[in-house]
Amino acid sequence: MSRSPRRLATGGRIDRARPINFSLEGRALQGFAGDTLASALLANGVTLVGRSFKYHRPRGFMSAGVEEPNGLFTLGAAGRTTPNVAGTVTDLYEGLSAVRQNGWPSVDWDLMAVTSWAAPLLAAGFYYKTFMGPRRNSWMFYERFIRRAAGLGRAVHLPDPDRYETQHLFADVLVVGSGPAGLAAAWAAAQAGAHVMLVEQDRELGGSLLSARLDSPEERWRAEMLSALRRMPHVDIRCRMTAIGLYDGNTVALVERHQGRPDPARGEAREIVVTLEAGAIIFATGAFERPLVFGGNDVPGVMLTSAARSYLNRHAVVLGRRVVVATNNDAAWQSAADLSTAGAIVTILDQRQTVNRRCLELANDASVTVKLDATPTRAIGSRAVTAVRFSTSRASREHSLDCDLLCMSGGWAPVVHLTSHTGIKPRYRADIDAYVPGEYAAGHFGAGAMTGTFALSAGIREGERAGRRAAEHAGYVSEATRAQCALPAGEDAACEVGPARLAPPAARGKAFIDFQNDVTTRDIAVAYQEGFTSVEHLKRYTTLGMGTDQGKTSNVNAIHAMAGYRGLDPQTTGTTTFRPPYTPVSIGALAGRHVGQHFRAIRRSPLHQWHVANGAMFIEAGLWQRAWYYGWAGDSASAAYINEMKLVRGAVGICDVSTLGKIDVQGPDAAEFLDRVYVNSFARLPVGKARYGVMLNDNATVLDDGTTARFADTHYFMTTTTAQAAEVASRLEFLLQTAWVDLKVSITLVTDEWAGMSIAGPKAREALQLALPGHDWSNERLPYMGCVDIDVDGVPLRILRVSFSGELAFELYIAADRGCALWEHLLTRAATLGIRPYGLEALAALRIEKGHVAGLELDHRTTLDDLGLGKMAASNKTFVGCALRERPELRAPGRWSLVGLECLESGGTLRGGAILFAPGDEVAGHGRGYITSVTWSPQLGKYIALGLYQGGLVHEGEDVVCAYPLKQEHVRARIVAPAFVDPRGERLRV
Amino acid sequence: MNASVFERRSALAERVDVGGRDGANGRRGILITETRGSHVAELTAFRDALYGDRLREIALPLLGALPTEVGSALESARITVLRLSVDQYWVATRDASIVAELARAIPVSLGSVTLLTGRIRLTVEGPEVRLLLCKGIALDLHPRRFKVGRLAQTELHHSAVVLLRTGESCFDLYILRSFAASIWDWLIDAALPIGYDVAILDWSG
Repeated sequence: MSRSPRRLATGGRIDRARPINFSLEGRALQGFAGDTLASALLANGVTLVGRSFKYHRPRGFMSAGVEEPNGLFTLGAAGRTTPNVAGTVTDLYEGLSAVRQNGWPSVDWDLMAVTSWAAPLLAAGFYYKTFMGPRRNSWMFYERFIRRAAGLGRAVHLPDPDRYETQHLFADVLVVGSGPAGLAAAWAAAQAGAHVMLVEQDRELGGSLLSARLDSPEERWRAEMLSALRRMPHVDIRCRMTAIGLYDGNTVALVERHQGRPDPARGEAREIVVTLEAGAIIFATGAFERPLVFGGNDVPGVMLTSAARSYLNRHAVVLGRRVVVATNNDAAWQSAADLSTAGAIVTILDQRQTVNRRCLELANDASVTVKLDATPTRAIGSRAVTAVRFSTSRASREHSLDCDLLCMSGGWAPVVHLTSHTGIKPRYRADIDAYVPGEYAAGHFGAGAMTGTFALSAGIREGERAGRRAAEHAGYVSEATRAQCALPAGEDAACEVGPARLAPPAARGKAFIDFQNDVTTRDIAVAYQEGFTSVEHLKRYTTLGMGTDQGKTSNVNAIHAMAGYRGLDPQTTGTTTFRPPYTPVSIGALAGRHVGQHFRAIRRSPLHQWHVANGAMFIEAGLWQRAWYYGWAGDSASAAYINEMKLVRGAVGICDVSTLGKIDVQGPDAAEFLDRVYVNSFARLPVGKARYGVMLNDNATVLDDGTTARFADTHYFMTTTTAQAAEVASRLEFLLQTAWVDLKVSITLVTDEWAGMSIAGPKAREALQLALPGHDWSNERLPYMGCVDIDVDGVPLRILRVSFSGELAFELYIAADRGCALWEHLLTRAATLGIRPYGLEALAALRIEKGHVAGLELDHRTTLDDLGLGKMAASNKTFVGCALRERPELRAPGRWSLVGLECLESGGTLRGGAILFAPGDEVAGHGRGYITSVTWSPQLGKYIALGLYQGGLVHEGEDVVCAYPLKQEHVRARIVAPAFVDPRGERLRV
Repeated sequence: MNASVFERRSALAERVDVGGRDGANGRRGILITETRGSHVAELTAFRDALYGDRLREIALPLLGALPTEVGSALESARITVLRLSVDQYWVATRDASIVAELARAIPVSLGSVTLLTGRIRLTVEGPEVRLLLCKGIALDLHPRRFKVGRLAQTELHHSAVVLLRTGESCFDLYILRSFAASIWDWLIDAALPIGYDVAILDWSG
């Protein structure tokens, strides 16, 4: 590796004692700790790193940071395959495998490059115009081929085995960016006593300082500042953490990347999404160098000047021996000097006619050849740059210079993305030819290059001021805040920037503005001619500014080009909208740990483990896992539930009803409260009795139903449906806190406090007598709709004699943690009666046979009368919904109302959701109603159903057609009263 | 009562028995303890300032002390009293007789006492406890902001929890029994890179 002609023997921030093996398309390569994938490839002589999006032109690295448009790779294999990762921000790690993108059969020999020959036909928007015919949907046919020819990397459809996490963090002051301004800001804020979080997307702190020579004053200043920061308490430094979005409430989304290859088995996360809330935020995000726009500016070997300096000073990679630096600003002169000092023959072409004394002295000291008033017009070369043509204002003919590295610097674009995320538009500053933050929200501060302050010392002082103000905003003011940090030694000056000249569209060679999307100056001209002159339209028409780099190096040049065509200044032209994320984020990171069993919480009954151990199959009911059916009854739900139903109808079964909503209602006004909530009266309900109740929404549709039992004058025990428990409790609390504040009532949601089990069947009473002897279970002592609290062996039990199945039944409630013991006790003691558990499927089927409504009928659209419960409503009191239920539309005779349905066809199947039609109706549209609940009835030997039908039981005895379009089925059924078993309710009263 | 045929069973029995695991650095930075056999009761005064004062007068001798601030708790050897809202308290104790005494002492005309048998108390502690909790709780748990004795009604893994700081590196979580297994699974998954031990504190005896 050390023999690489591009790698310097000394210098840089790499650790030559730690070689790292990696591969490119299977080819073994070696780099060093401290390398990025980009620097390691360049050190190994790999300069062709991809093919362009549309024209498949050879491309090399253009930058050394997150703005990279060209050097995108597919990393990893199988489920870990990650496409479109910029090599410039990928830290090298042992075993890294990379593949270049968008070349067929390979990037080196890409046959798709023939598209470049057809380039004149492929201007912006060509495919939207060209591939529209001959038929209306022809585009859908062409699109797949176009997508295959163009594009970037491809994702895989395999599960991602890596782990991603989420964290919520807080800080008094958040500093985004650790360049000179960011370091100074963090130092000043911490000096004031604030808890500071300093985040840096790079693996090292320093920002632009990392591109300076190791023996420079800038590096000494960086080292001293880091040492000071690390000694300070309450400074939390996070590298490899990128702020990707700014949101309301001083909330910032960040992504932290793992170093190297994480091991998910050890809990190591590949990426962590952090939601950070800060008292104040300092944006010290720096600036991107802008490319110059001239013919062939995408040839490998043409790159940003700051990148060449970074590869040289940070990674000890010298990318050329004959170097031309083309620029319009002062900053590039330092890079030219560094490259020359490293041994390259350097010529600087500056578009300006004059430059300041400092630049000239720098060039002179470093033996850099200087050509002023020189504008590059064309880079020569195909796979590598070999020369550059340039022109001057004094001569009409072009000049040429041979080179193997062409650096370009068209000024600087402050990174205003984050400050713009909340909608604040950037402001154009003509003096630096750049956009800066338009303003700052309260508690937000900017410092350094992102504000347009490019000089080092000025940026540091600005950072200090921002740090002090941010700390003050967060509540930290002290005399220590007046101290100033030392400045780097040496002369410092403002970075002067001249206007960048864009190549005209007619110039020879493609002059790229957006490298990632292959958008040239000609495309901008076409967009202008076509009328897409707004920057937002320009973006959509040309795809400029899209993709993984989101136009970080292209947007400003494009705005300048369009502003030129329109004769406007850049401020008037404006920018496109900045949106999160600032840099690409893995889908896995956004999902975090919300995958697999952690996708959402699951609620389990107190009896869950018993069900698991005893062959239950489960079904989701909202968040609950409920026992669906049991293995004793059959191998499938369809077989098992029928056997379980037969058990309940013929002997005795036991069912886990712990999931029912349970609400404790206490207080002197509890009775009055329930009278207002329920349509029927509860004030006169005697102690020791329970009653079925229905409550309405404000709009008079049914909210929920359930049984409420009275255990004392001031104490009721309400049950709700499983699904509606939380909503009902919230509704009741809302009413108590807003509408009826005078009522002395407290409610507590106690669903989790009680295990509930229903013993149902003709032998239910015998089962209780066997299991809980010593108590009187007779009809006289505990009649239907009776309730009682008893004490068994020192443990309170609550018994309600209510029935959902239509059989003699008792609901038993016990403290949740004792539920399993009671359940097992009942099964053991009543075993001689053949008692067995039954599941949700049987429970639902039993209630359909009985004609009880449930969640499928209580869908917040049906009224009391729709469900045949209108007579329940008390006329001598008011209740929620009582006024609005009188609305004519809710009283209309043609409303869809509850009916029972019996299948008339032998072998026919009724299905939930089937649409109901009268015989002779055209089977189309919404029909006259639909089936809400359906089951096979062992009692009747046929399918039965509940449904809603226009006019309801007025049509009792009539036939209907049940249409199920998904299966093309039409089945005849008859409308009957919705009580198929024991309609007089004799069984449950025995 | 514990000798009853209807013995109490933990919702986490199978999970706690699995034990702990080393973290990525080979250490165990978190201890998760399930407290069994505790009794939790909710005391609520009906909405009236006088009722609240009266409830406190009655409860104070039985509990020894009451938190003065909403969102705080007082802990003694046998009782933890949490003040959830102005006139709403939770009493967590190993002594069932205290709950029974409260129920007897507080008149039904004044407020209610509801036994909460479906709450599970988990204690998470260790030097990395804030790192663990920040993965699921969006609260600033820095000791300057969330002091010892402070509580919050918040959310963890889509479930309502009451979080109480009982020490610099120690928090109690009161969670709903039906969510307990899910939350436990979430906790040990979140603790995986840190490493964790599990323990049981049994107050049943």
